[in-house]
Amino acid sequence: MRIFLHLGEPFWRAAGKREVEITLNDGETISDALASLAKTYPSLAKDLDGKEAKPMLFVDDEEALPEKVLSEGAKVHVVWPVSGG
Amino acid sequence: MSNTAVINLSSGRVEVSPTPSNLIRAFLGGRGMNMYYLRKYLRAAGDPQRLDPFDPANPLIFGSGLLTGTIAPNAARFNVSAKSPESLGLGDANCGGFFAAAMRKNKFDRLIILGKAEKPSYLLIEDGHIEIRSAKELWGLNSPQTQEALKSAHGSGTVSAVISQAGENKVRMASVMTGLKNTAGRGGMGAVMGSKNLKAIAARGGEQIAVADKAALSATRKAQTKYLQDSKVIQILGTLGTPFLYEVSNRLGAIRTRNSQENSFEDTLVASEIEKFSDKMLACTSCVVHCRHHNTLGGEGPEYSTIGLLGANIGVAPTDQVITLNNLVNDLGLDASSTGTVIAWAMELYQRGIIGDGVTDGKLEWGDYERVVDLINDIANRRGFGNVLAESSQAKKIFPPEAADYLIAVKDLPQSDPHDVRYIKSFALGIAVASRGADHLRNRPTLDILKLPDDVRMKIFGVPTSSDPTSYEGKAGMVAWHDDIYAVADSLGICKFITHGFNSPKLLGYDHFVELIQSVEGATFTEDELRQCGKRVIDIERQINLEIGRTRADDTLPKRYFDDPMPARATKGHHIDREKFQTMLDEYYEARGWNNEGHLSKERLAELDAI
Repeated sequence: MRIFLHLGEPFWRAAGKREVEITLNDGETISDALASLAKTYPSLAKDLDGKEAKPMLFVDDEEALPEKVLSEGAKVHVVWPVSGG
Repeated sequence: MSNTAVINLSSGRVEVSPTPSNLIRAFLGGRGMNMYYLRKYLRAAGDPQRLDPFDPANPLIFGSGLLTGTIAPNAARFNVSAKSPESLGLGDANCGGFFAAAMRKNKFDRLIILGKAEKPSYLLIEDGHIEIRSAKELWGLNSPQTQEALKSAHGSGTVSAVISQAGENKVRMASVMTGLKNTAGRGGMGAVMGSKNLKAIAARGGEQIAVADKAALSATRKAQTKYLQDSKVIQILGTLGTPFLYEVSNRLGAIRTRNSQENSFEDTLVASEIEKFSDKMLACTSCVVHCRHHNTLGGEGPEYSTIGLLGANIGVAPTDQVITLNNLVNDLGLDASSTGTVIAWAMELYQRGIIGDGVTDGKLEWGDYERVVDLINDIANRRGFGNVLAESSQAKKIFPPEAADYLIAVKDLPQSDPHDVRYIKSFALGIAVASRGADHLRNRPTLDILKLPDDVRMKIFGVPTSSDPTSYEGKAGMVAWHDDIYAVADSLGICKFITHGFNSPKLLGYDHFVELIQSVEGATFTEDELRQCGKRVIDIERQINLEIGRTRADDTLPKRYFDDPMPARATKGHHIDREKFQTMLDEYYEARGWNNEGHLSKERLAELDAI
């Protein structure tokens, strides 16, 4: 199935684009999508590893956990969790 | 040794004395020591509750942090404090840049300004001396013009803190400016300065700030800089600045939009769009982050708060327009947060027909950039409807009574940041109890968004807390923890961006602060003693607010945050439950050691009085 990853700051900079389309198997999750992303763009792996902060994830407009099983055409937003000012 | 100067503008008398070591031990410096003096002088003026903030007896205090001006990381900050003409309560604004270091090079860590000059004046601090001079030629100039004029008069190395037209006209949200954008913005400290006929404080000359152990400080800075620069948040702030935060809040559905009637806005204000107008990143004294944009439209910034409040909150989407508004409020010496909040408030009142064309001098519609430009100029110069909005939250006394229901403020201070706090309950409690009013920089538990594991949260906060940002459980302890460490950072003169708990758990905490104080002051503090300093600051601020007449009822939120569910995105449906909020407030008072009305114990008050 096709999944569309919408990358927020700073993730998109490693990919050079805001939206990355990937293909997953049925039953696969956001974690699988991020693993696929890190494989394509190895420099993203460190930012996605969650050691300082786990990325905030949204499927369309809903906040989601990494375990969420994705469906065809899902748009997954990946943003750095920050809220100071 | 550093000194405190008491400057009476009415008499022209300047008294200088060494800053008392017992006050350093109790309050460190910066915000903490300012609060000690603010309470002292407000009480000396008579009844703190009745004192008009524009009365010459209102003290205006400039206080640098204990580490400010040294090479300690990000130690650039100073606080400006007075009774606020905007909130009519405790007024305190924190600022970076280079001014405080210039003060300290002249051996002054604190200026307490009393009285009122007969004519427009400025203070010249030069080689350890303070002189009151005529500001006749400066009056009427904006912030950059004033600073340039002072450089022309006293040399290019002159650094100054100034007011612009807004301060001269006693606009209640007027800021004190240094550089193009560094702003002591909150609470109208610029208006207090204007009420004293004080246009500027210029500092030049002096000598290197003496430290107890130069080699140790150098080594500590090196190690702490490496630690900080390993943080991804620090790296991002150094390239994108705070506009980086807009996208997160917007995606979540927590960006204050059209006076919080909505909670999401355009993508034109994300960091990558702002970046197109940035030609370099700038830093304050000893900074290791470099978070401030120099923009190609003639100013510095914008910050996330300005993007949100002079963008989404008033419906202005084009990137260049928002940056131009940012530059305009900085030049005119207006607090961007209050200005954006108050204009949005007026726009909603107009939208609802609560105020009409006769009051607003014509149409006042969302996103009308040209009208906003005119209005900001009118606010600073107190012209037409701008003269009404120049009253900031106090304009509720001019508008129909129902207008107050739509003002996004706490304790009459418009909310500082663009984050809609209805979703993350700890944020809501934080702005409700912050001593100066609705403000994120007093205690925001930014780590709440990280959903850290239980053991990590317990290790940090020392009390059980929920990992769910929408839960009310344990959030009181989390806010109290942030109260303390942010008060310590403000009292040391350290920037929040490198303070543990602000955006990342991998920044400088009490252990790092202990090392810095040891090498700068040669004074040994334990981590617990430092936290006790933070607690003391929070307690004395509470006492100031009580003496000004604040009560538990003032620790609340804008009506909308209770009554109106958020309309869109992941936060849809969230609001603050009144009953649960009151329970959270009870828990907060308990965490702080206050009684159910938010009062300090007699023993604690006696301790503070004895200092």
